[in-house]
Amino acid sequence: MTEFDATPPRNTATAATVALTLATVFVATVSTGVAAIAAVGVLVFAYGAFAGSRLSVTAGAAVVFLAALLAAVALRGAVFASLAAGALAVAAWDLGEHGIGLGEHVGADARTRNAELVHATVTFAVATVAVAAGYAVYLVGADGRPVAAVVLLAAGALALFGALR
Amino acid sequence: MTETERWRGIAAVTFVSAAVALLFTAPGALLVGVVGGAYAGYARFDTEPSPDLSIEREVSDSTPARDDEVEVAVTVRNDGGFLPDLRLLDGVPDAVEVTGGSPRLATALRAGKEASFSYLVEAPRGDHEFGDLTAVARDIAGSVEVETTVAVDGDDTIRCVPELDTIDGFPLRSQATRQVGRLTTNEGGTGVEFHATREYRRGDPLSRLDWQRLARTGELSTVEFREERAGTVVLVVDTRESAYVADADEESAVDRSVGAAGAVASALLDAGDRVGLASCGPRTAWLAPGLGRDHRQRLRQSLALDDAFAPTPPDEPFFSRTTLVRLLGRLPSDAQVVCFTPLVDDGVAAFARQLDAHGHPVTVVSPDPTGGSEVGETLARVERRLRIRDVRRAGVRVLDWAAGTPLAVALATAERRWRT
Repeated sequence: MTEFDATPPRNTATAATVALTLATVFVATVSTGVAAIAAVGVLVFAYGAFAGSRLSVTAGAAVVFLAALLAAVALRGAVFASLAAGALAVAAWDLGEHGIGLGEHVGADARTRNAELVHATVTFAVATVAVAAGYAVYLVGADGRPVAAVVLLAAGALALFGALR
Repeated sequence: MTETERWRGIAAVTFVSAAVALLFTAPGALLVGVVGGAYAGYARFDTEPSPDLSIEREVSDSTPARDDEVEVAVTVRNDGGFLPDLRLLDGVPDAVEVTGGSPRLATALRAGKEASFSYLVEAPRGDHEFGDLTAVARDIAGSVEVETTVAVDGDDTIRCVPELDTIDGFPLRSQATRQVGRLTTNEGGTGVEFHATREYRRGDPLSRLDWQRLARTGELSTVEFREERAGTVVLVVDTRESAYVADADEESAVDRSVGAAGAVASALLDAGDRVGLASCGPRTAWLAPGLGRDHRQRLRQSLALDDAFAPTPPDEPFFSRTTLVRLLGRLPSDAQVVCFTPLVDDGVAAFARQLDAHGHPVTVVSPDPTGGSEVGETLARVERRLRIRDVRRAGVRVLDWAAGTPLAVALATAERRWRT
């Protein structure tokens, strides 16, 4: 019997790694130091995405996401870059994890292109919407209101969201 | 429907962003938290998929010969709504080997659309029935999934009845029936090989008079030749669970035994011997000795399709004593036995000795499953050699058939030893 090969499909792993690399590039426009940390995350992520390890995919994407937050802290004005980097990090994690799931279910030898394509399209669309919405809020609302108020508002929204689940 | 929980930690993205924003008073970080909210909503507001599929399977050749590759093509049509993430696994029979392509597919199917995939399989001997197709449908974010099995229309069986192998001949032990055949006996009569001369009796054919002696001494005498007679042979294949041991090439001893039984049966039938077939295992098979083309087909069918010789091990309990008694009751009194067993335990070794003791000369053909150099493997090999020695001492002929050697070669080697 030909052994079942559970490695994730290459296309999805490549797309996910490219997305995360792009996130790192966004971080690099703000701070090269932080981008260096993110690069380590990309390497860990790439290993996980191609070899099929959920732990390293999640860890790698988390490192890049934290790097995006750090970039926002390092340079207060760098809103768009950190927002885009954060969205790309989550999208890359979604793709990577989806690829691993595909690998486990149908293996590397099966055709998976359609499923990959649909999933990638939708997840990037969600990322785009998130970035657009977030940036729009920033443009409209960034007129000197206290940060704490906005944070509390967000926390309230999340609590409501949690209750809905 | 099951929750995949793959988005379980997504709220943390928002909370961490908010915490960082608060600690460092960085509004940019708070905005990054929006991403978490967006994906949480994406994971949340989705509908449960309800796959409604109709599936058709097509097998290129449902009665392949041995080592033939068969192409299996599966077409799936979505009779329900849009399925953004559909994973399919065809119900390939256990014993069938997938040699090319993959019996799986992941796709996205809009309503009314079709997807197809194909793969190559190689079937061992026997009947193989395809099972239902397993489908896993996920919603677009992958937060819920539904797993179902779907009945498949179209072809669902492969039947492989391999041709019998051919070897040049198989040496039987000296014991014979009344039919004329090729076993030389120790009785005088018609034949080819000189046996003895005896006094002339009225009615002896003139062609067998010893004319030289008549010329020399004037006495009438008749030349006798060794009678050549047919043998009756019952092939017994060891199909107990313990016989399902694989050698270094991953070929199970039962598979090799069945192959060898086919080859021996074919050679014996060619030589005019009557050949029967039995299994020594919990699943019993019995084919009374017979001759002719029909009988050869019956043997071939039985070896390929009978459950008793299936490529997968049995799980029923085995009662050695009952099997022996039943076999002894069925064996014609003049039958000899060729026993195919890997001799990995004492069960069949004792079985062979008992058959021999009941007056049925036994030849054991033993595919050697031992190999490797680890301690356990070495021990098993030594144990088996000792067992073979014991069986030989009991007067049973044993053909020790090493893995990777063609049966004909092993037989030629053994035949040299048996003759001396």
